[in-house]
Amino acid sequence: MFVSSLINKDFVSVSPYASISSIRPLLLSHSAVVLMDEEDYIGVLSFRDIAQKTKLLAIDCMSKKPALDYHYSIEDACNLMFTSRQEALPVFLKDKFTGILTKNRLFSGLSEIYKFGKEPEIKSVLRLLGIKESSEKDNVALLSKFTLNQNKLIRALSHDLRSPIARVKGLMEIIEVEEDIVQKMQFCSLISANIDKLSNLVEDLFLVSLEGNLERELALEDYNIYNILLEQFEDYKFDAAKKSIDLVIESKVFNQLVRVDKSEFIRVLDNIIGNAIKFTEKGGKIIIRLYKSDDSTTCLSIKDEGIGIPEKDIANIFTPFIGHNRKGTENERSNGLGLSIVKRILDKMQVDVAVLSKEGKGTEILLRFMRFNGIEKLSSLN
Amino acid sequence: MEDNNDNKKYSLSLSFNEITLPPVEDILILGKLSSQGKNGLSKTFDYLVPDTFVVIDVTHENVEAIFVNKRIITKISVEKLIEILEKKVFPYISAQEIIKVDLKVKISYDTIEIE
Repeated sequence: MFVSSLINKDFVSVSPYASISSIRPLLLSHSAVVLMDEEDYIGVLSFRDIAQKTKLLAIDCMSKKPALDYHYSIEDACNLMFTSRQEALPVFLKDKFTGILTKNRLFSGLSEIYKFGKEPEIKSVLRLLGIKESSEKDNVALLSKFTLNQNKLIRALSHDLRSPIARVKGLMEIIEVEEDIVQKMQFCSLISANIDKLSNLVEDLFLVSLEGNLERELALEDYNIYNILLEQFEDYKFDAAKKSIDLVIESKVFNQLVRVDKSEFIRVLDNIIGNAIKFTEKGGKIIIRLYKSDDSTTCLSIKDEGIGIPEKDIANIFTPFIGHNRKGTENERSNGLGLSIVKRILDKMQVDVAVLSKEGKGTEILLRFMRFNGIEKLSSLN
Repeated sequence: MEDNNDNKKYSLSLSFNEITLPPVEDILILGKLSSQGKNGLSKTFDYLVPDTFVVIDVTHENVEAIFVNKRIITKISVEKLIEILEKKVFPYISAQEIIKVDLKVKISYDTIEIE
């Protein structure tokens, strides 16, 4: 099988003199963009390029990439793709640029080949990726899982970038008109904290998209959960204030330690509290409760008075894209990824999560920092 | 804010002078980590002063390239020029900077013998 069948000819092209800030959003949804000066091919630009160079223009960030010939075999393409550590390579036919081949497209092409019994090609790719080979039947499954997981994680991380970006933008707008210097300083420290969040997420995104690492190792440590809530509370207050929502913490424990990866746990909080704000009407109330249950388990509840979740969706609420068409009460966008991200992270940290919701009444998300059996133990929401 | 407008006084300091574009006439040294890159700057020079500057790539830990006015390299060789810059200017450049260098070349002969 040849590269020609996998070429992406419907690529995104941009001017070589376009600013990186205008290209960065494109690279969240495409592996690479092609720099074209009118009809002339200039080069291929990927996330790796803009991570490596801090220039303002696309052409100054672009690195030279090896070219693939239209008639290369898939195996040769894999070799070149992984030895050059690129996300996408240009393809030429008789010195004429014809399109790009992306790593993702290469993977899906390989899955197709397997069906026709071209096992050696799959094996060579697994070797290059450093994935231990298995039985013939399992090799393609390994490869598909690798691609699928990588895509899933990139999508999830991109989703989580939105909140801090929106917060920074909002805070900047306020700083512009705010005259009180003390307030300004406070907003600056909030911006700084959100930029730290963005840095962590971007770092994860690069790990996933560039190195092929599916998951980073969790850095589990004991943290005072009340302190984490307090640290993040200003951010959430800021988001809630935009909709005049009363957001309160009601804690009965102040020194309780929980074992979590702090930055991942903050992503969980961002998603849950972000959803609560999104689906609560203006002037509503959200209560964050921290307490110990009867069996001494630390529990964190986030309960809103929002629009609730339709009954038919509750059973699959942690499945990606369930409810992706639902808009917030102020028409905020929703892609249905938030709770699936929450569940994936909490599973990794061995934290149980349950959702109780009644349409029109509100939703409660309950985290228990110890394993428990099912959600029937939870009090029902009336 | 409207309430205070009547009570406000503004104190301004104003001056103006002519500038030329690009703001460099002789040599510009581009640091490796500066926000502007070689290609973008080269295009800018081409638009502002077509066919006036030449871009020279250099191998240096902090310097990406230098832009030299062509009239300079008609008087002194590129190799000699780079040798001088490497010795006298490059040691003071950090990778984030863009440096403007003024260089006037004066050529004089001690004796001219004509047969």
